[in-house]
Amino acid sequence: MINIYICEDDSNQLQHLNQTIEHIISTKKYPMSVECYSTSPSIILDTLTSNPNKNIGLYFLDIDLNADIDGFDLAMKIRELDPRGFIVFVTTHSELLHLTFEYLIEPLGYIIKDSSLDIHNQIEKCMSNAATKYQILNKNSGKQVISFSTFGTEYIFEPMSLIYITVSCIPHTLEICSDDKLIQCRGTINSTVKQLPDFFLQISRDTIINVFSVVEYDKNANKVVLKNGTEFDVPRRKYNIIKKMQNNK
Amino acid sequence: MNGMTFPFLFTWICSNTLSMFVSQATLNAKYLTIKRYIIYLLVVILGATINAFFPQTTYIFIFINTITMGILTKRIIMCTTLALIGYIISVVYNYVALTIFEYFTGFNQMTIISNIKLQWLFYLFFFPTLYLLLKLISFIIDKLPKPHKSEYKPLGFALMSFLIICSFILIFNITYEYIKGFPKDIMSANLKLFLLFLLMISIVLFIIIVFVYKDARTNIALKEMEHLEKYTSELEEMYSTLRGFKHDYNNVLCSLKYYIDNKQYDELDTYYKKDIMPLINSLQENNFSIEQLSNIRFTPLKSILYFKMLEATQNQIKTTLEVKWPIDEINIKAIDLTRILGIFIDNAIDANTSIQDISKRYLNISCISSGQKKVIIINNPSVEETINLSSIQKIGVSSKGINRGYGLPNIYSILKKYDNVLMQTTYIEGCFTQTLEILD
Repeated sequence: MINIYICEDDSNQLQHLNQTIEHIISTKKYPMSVECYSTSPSIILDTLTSNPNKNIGLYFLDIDLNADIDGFDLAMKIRELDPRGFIVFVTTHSELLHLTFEYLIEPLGYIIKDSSLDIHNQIEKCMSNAATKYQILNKNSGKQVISFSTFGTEYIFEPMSLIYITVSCIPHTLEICSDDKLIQCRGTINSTVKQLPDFFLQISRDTIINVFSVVEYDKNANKVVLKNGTEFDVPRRKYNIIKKMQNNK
Repeated sequence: MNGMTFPFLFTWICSNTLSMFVSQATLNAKYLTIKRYIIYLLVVILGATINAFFPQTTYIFIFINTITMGILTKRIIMCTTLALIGYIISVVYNYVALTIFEYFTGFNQMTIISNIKLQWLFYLFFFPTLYLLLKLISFIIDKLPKPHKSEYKPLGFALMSFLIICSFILIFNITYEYIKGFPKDIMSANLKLFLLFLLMISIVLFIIIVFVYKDARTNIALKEMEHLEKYTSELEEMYSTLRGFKHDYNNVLCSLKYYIDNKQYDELDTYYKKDIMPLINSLQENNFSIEQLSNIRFTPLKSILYFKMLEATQNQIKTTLEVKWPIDEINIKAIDLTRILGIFIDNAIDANTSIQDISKRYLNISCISSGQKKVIIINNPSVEETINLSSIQKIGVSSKGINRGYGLPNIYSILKKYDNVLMQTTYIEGCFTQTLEILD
């Protein structure tokens, strides 16, 4: 079940939003219900804090709220209360700060209040998106994830997507390479290797690799090639360990 | 040294080796590994042994040692200069230490030179104090402000050639006088004269370096001023277009009123779609959210962003800037921040210009002040389907193909100096994002 919260300072638009959303829920039979809609952000927050059941939320927030906080601050507060919730910003073009929102809130999507765009369609897209993500979330709830923190920002990785972790040339810094990210964070190899699943192997004092990312062995040059093309020197005795670990699964 | 006994020879080789090793390696200690130490020591011992039998080879001996140091550390200019500085200091200090030693023990120089035990006693005093002195000097050198690589190369050359000439004159002077058997007082007077000359030249050189350094700083400040002037004129232009729009706006409202008064709703609809919508759109598209720049109060950041975004728009790249919260200060040296962002944005512009379809070009920049840190995000499209993220940091390889993006290794060399800066790269669905996080 997903609880829907709507915050919009214009009461006409709020009514319109609510009706559209209710209509979509009833026609598409989504497991969702509108928990609260209001023109005031404090009412939304109060409802959220007093709500005992920990259902995941879907939030439609206007950015310009004409209140002491704007929709963005509201979203930041919601993130603290419901870290996995789906946030959708309802906004005009000029208020949209795409990168900033993406970095701090990771919203599910945006609904652009522009007379040339169909609002109904946009809302429907966001809701179907939330429904799909909700299903995936439920399916994967038992799966292990690995997180690295960089000055307070959490980067979450699925273990299989990690390729290697190595000591950077910058002091006290690790470099973590996954399929689509290359991040730096403070830490040491020894403390990191402990929190990784068993298909990670420390091949040298400063490098850990995911053994399933190894695509090529070069026994003569003492090298392995990983799936993104990176090469690492591997001591001869580690080859058999890598092979054995690959065959175990 | 014909007719020398073995103990004398041994002492000669030992002291020569030690003085070379201590004087040249101490200042370069941070560039040396154990392997390099050993190789260098072997070269020095070999040189000192040959030198003991052929005193005329002193020049070659010093030259080879100095060059070896440069080659071993792979930083020829820096390390040979340091090695020469170390050597000159040791020669000068040798003279000072000998005087001190004479004063405390009451032996005269000739006695010390002819007595092996006394010589060893002297070295026991000389080498530890020389080592400490050089450590102190190396500490002071570390604390000196470092100019930029580009400014520093010609300076390094000048300093090195000066030091080479000085050290050779010094060595020539001493060995020549020694071989010719000059009286001791003339030798010491000569040495004093030479040292005075060295000191004076050093002061002049130091003043020149300080001036060059200051000049470079002023140049940067001037450039910043130029950017800001451009920014101000842009703001003025924007203000005047806005005023123009205000005038249009009144006309538009009047014509709207005309349609409503006459109840011509269909015409109103077409008028709105045909004339008003494009007007609104053009106002939105108009220049790269320049008003966002006013939230940046850290002048170097404002200047570099303005300058680079101007360049991007000139390359027909749709450029946006987001600064939601004011940014007063960033805990990183202005010059380093400017260099890093310059490289990031240059790479982003390069990636964009290799895309033929102009509508697909974009550059989004965001400056965020969040909690205890400042975050700068740069976002651009990339032509290639897949990028090996780990190879982009290597020299000459970047997301834009070979020979571009040379800047990333430079970024690494800057980041090494900071423990409050981290860099993140992501590449998702053709969109390349660089994130720089700076802790307050």
